Amino acid sequence: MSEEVLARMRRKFFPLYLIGLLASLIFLAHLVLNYIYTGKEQYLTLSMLTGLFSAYLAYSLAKLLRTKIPIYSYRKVVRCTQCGYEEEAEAKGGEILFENAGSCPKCGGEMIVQKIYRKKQLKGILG
Amino acid sequence: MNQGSFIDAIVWFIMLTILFYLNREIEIMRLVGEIEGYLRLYKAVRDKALATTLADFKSVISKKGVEGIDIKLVEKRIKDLVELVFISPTDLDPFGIVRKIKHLLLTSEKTLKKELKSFVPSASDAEIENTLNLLEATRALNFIYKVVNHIYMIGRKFKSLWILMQLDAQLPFITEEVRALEGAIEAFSKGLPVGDSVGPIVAASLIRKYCKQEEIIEEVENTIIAKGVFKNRIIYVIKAKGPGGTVGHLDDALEWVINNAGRVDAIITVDAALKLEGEETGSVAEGFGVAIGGIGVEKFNIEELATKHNVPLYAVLIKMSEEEALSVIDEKLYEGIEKAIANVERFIKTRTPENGIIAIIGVGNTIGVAP
Ligand SMILES: [Zn+2]
Repeated sequence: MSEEVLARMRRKFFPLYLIGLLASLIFLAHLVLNYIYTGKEQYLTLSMLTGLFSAYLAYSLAKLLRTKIPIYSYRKVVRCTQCGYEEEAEAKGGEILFENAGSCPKCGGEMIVQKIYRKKQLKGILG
Repeated sequence: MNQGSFIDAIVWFIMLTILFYLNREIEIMRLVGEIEGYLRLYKAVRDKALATTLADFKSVISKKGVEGIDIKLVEKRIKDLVELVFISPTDLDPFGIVRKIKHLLLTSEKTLKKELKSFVPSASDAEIENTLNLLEATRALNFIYKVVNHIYMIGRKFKSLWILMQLDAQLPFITEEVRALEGAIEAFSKGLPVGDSVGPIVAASLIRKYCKQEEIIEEVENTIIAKGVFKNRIIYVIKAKGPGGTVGHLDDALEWVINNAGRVDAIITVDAALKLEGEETGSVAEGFGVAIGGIGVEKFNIEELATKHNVPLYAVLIKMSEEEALSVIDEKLYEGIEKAIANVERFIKTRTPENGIIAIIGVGNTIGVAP
């Protein structure tokens, strides 16, 4: 589905964000340490800018990780017209609603396809 | 005047101008990147749709035997059919335009069916109909991709921020439609019922409840009419003939019912309706009028018939999103179907006279729904 194409496109950015975030954090630590030891104002200004940049990267990364893509499966419910016994199974395609679906294992009555539906499950982007 | 501050001001002014210019360029770059991402997506979806359509038709061919069939030629014809255009009649003089549209639709449908059938003479009607549905969805996806690409290229060529911004603003809605069509491709290639099938499912349930198998009449092409009895009233349930992917000719079927039964005391249409964002999927609304989407030919004809014979029009709508309408049906919609059946029964009990004749029309695509 199209969501998977989008996820694949976004997944490419994941290492980029991660490396960028790590690099900017190391740079930030370096600047902060410099400021603590030398007390020079320009280190503080730079570290503030770097801090903002790292925060932006962290936010983007979190957004990427929170993205969920839907995975669809198809199900069918067959029901006995006599006793109401129900069975659920995967729909492989070609099933027809209200068509005969064999005989009931409980009472031998006629079973029909009562429901066909799409089931949605959410999956993380990296999973 | 102080010399230094004057130069400073000039430098500031130039820097500010450059900044504004850069801002615009960055905005264009951002828009271009975003639109290109969507375009790649649309292209991927279209290519997959075309591949699915071809694979589906080939599987029909291989099921029936490949002798005497030129697969290459079939493939080429299917690719040509994706580029097919329908030229709607002129509305310069709108009198009689509905008849003209109906004529165009009927003849083109017949021609396409015949052509596909000529490739695989032993294919069933349902298989041909499903392939036609797949072709239609592929055609729509192809058209969307081409138009978006066209606007994007014009915007880029003239470096127009406004064109790109307008296109970018439309993309969420277009993507919704692309997703819906993508779901349709999946549903039609599997032959499973879609959200839009709720109307035919309600009709089929009513047929199973109140009509006998031998009272199903097939007078109109692709459409079934079932006669039954409910609470001392005669009901005629009309739906497209399943389980192929077809919407039937509901207006012709209604005309047949009126001509044969002599009169009709109420017409109830059941259809899927687009929900607004925030509305619950599967919620049911009742209304007056004819609940039918599409170009409007059948709507017009049913309204004409109802007005001519002075018949009240009742409607039951089952709400869903565009994506849900075209994808394989969601489980929540079955609750809507139950509610819609109850609504139809209530309408008959409370709004129609005893011994009356009532036409119930289940509107929508009947793919994967019998009978
Ligand atoms: Zn049973």
